[in-house]
Amino acid sequence: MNFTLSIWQALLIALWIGLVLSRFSVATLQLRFTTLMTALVVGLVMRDVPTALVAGVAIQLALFNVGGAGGSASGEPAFAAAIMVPVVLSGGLNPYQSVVIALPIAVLGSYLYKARFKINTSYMKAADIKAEELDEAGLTREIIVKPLLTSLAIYTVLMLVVLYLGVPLLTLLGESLVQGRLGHVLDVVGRGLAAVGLAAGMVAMGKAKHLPFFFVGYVVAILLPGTSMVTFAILAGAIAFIYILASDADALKSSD
Amino acid sequence: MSSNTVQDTLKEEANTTPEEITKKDVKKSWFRWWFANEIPHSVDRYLAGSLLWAMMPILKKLYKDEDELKRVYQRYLVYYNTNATWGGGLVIGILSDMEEKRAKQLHETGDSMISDSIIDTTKEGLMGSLAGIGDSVDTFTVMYTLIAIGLPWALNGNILGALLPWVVFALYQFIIGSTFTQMGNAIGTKAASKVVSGARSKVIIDGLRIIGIFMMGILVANYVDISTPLTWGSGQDQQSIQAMLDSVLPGLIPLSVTLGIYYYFTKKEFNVMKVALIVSIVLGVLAAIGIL
Repeated sequence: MNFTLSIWQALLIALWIGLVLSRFSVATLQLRFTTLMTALVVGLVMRDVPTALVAGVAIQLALFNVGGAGGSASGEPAFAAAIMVPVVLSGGLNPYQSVVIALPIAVLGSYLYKARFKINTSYMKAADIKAEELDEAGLTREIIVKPLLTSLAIYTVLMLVVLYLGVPLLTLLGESLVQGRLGHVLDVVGRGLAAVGLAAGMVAMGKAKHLPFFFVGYVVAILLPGTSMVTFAILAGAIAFIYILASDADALKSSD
Repeated sequence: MSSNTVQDTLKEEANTTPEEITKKDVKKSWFRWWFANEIPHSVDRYLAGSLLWAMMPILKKLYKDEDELKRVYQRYLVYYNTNATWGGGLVIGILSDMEEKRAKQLHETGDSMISDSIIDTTKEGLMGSLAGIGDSVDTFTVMYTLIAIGLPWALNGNILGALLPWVVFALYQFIIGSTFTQMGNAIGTKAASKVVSGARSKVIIDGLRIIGIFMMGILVANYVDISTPLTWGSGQDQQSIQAMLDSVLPGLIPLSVTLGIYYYFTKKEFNVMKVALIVSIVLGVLAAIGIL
């Protein structure tokens, strides 16, 4: 493969991450936690969408649930994908091997993400003064314009440097790591880390009483290989509906 | 009294009378909150700036006295943090209703039963409980379920695997938040208690959790890939241990590892990165010595 990441390609990916991490509207919430959209953008910029998406899936599985309520995530999946998907497309590592390096990068990303909260503190102090003056344009500047532009500038510039200088280095490092036994070790670890991400996903989604439905899903997936996820989702919806009808009919009636 | 003086008095009265808050005003506030939400997130006041920015047009229509408007603006610039849609939507709707009643009472009688502290307490009381329920439904169930549905498409190189979960979730959040805002404005704090402790809401959340955890079972069966190349016996009697395990239950190793981690998360501590490090070391050593 051996793609080279030009300055323009690096800038486009960096701008994307700048927009995601500066939290331009609620629509960016999922963009922070899904690696798939970032992988798609990287794939479009580097002209290999299929491989980019496979790398996105591998990283997503390991970072399926990193917390995230109230901005307290322990990792930034999109940030990690923006760096590691280009490494995969440059031929440094295969998608699963890239997961091992994506994890510490995601942790680093979470510290960078929180940095903007500190910067915004000074803008909020300025907003106090604008409120006292009833300066609406000033309030919009301190609450929206300055925080947005500052985050956008910081994350875009930072990502540009990391992508333009860091991706070639990581690609070289990856190429030397995957030689021999270490390549196999990274592959095994990268594939196995999906267990951590999905176990974290189980914690987020259900309580202990919902665990039987996990096993139903597991067994159904084994019995019906090749079935589409939408079909499984419809089946899950039907099972949930039957369960609700059976267990909470009285509660529903009383609420009507 | 001359007609000019009467006209002046009427004009002055009109200038200080709170304006009616329409559905359009409330919708506009929701849209402003949806846009601003996390942009001014700060260490000490979290999303206070977004709430003020969202409410500014409504507050300006209600409080015509400049000193009062200043006090109200400052009242909004204290710590505030909640979920974007369930908490954000309902609180904006409820506050719009409370502020309108307060402003009208103040104008008509010079006093209001709805004091500053009642509004503050309502806001503070609701933001936590609504954040808990909203995050557990939106962020931890709906969002991840949609991502799970997109994974196989993405794995096959289909861009819908990336696009659909994002577009559907973004639309879902906008619509549900807008609905909660209107609901909060129409029935006030009753809307919040309906959401937090209503039977119907509990049932819906239970159903979403069932769908979510069912999909996790599907993902674990399909995407956790841990297997062993070890064999048992020698020569023609040599048997693959992996094949033996698969004859008991396909994917027994990945299932056991996932459940072990799940047990640790629920019984010990939920620290994803610490567990990822431990699992990496264990799997790495086992792979290096040829067990995996």
